[in-house]
Amino acid sequence: MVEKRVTVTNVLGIHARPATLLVQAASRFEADIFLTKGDVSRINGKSIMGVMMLAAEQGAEVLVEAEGEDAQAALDTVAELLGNDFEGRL
Amino acid sequence: MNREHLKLEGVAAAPGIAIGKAFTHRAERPAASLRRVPDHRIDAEIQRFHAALASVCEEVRRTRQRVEHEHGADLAMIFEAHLAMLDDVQMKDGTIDCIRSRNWSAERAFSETMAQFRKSFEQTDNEYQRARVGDLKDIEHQVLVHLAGGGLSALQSARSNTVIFARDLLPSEAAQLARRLVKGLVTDAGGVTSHTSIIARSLGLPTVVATERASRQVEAGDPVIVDGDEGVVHIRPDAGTVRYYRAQLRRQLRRERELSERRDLPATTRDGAEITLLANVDLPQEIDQALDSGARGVGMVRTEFLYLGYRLPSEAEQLDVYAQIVRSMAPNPVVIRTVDLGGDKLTHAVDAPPEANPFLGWRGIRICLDTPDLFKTQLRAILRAGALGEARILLPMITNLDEVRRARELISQVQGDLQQEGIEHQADCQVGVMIEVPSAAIISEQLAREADFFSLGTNDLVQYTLAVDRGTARVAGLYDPLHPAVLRLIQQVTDNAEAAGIPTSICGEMAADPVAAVILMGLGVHLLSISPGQIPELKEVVRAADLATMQQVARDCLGLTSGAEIRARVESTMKDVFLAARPPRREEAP
Repeated sequence: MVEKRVTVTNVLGIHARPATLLVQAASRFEADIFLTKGDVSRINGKSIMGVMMLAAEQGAEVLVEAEGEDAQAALDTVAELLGNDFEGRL
Repeated sequence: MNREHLKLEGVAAAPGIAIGKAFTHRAERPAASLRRVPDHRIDAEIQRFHAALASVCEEVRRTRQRVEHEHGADLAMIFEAHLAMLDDVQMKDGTIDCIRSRNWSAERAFSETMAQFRKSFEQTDNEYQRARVGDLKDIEHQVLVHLAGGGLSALQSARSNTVIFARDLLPSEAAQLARRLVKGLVTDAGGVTSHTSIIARSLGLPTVVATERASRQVEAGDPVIVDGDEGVVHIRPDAGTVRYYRAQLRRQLRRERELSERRDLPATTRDGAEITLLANVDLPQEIDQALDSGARGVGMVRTEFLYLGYRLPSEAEQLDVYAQIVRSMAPNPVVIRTVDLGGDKLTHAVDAPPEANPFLGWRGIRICLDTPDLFKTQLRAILRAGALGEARILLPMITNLDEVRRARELISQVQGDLQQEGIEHQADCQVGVMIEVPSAAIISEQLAREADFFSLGTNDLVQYTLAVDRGTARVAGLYDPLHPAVLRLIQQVTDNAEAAGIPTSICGEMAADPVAAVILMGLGVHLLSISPGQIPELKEVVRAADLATMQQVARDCLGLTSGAEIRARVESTMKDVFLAARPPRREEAP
């Protein structure tokens, strides 16, 4: 299990569109990916409903956890998408 | 039943006027079957659920393709999100689990699972997230229709000249509306940020939302009028209202036709002088309007709106906004004014003690130079956005030469940093000085040596020159952009700019007044930046005028003694020489 704390920098926070990109990217990995924000319990990073439910506003801190064979690569990818304002895909 | 004329107020969600007959759309939700699925039928029930999901996905994919083709990838992303929801593991696992462990029908298992999601979305106080409930309902509706063996939406039976009335409309339904047949849209619920409203705007469908009760007050076939500019709906309008709106509609159609016919015409005077008409823009969303109006670039992006929160905007947030604007306008330039806080534009993000005279206090470039981190963050974002097209930096509230030098020093530093970090940016960014304080106009000869261009900020220049606050009723009458003192200052600026070989533009409201525009062009201001909506009208003025006459008129005006005389002088020239046609103004609504 690997984990990382990330601050959401996307100007809209994780909403429908960035959430879709995030879930699409997460689903490419074997590893299970979980996101936790404050009092919202661990949600499945491959579920768009879950990710949208996080309501992670810009500036929010999100804990990303990954478990499985390609966990580190999955973690890096998801953390970068959250913290990197989805650059190149504006 | 009440057959009287009924006027309902809502929220304007997409502009324009529509006159037509009401088509009432009541989304009938198929009832979730309560039947118990026997154990040996469970696998078949799960299969049925998968099959329904697959057909809905297929339909959504088709809708997405069509929307992408007709309206671009941004709007199509809504349906990309719908596809992701239809493929959601939690949703699928939850539904299948309910079928398997509780022997529920696919309909019931699916609705219950979706209801759980919906509840948690509805509970948040996040407006954007609540708006997504519309997307959830959309998915749910489509899957249930398919499980029930249902086919096409009733909306497709809409006849011509139809105005759709619905309690709420699903985004997928809005995307099906055929612009040829459907003229307008009215919903009881909804908000301006819902996907349905966004789609309506891009379809150019006059829309009023949040009317609360319109769909219950109207009967199918009732004559109706939608005023998407004012957010008003008329049901069974009386003869006077119909006459008024018919005239409005004719005018709207004529204006649209003229606008599209003339959008690509050059803003050239009759004697061949080229004038550049630019748009003033606050938000990236205004870019489409700017392009439609025929703007040849953005003369000023105001950036204050980014700073009005409780926290300073990050480099990434700013880059997001500037990049959208620069990219859409490329290869035309986009002038970004560095943040002009202070004065009447307050922010919670910068700790500024109250002042007795905010307009003579800590504002504009003064705040930026005193808080270099804030300034450099913005400069980095502008220079990075510049890599996608052409950005130019405009410095507000300059009152002395030292401020320009210090700002340029910081810009060079930031360029050096970006270079070192290997981040793509614009290395040859022009830096302009805003002339909005009399001292800047008076030393414009010196400033011209350090600036790549001047931009006249006449709103402040007039108030500082005449010592008049427009907001104070008793002195508002003294606020006169055509005051000889203002014109003489402008003449100094344009003369000095010309001698130094740099252009002067104007980005104040003054430029939208045809009389002032004629004088400004005559004085040598050949770049005019105004609200996008005012560009077509100003282009008419330019095309009807000739530069030699405007130069003569401007010279004459400098010798006159009051704004009123100056206005009369220019108006008589416009009438006698230019024949500038102006479109009729909108009358008072009934």
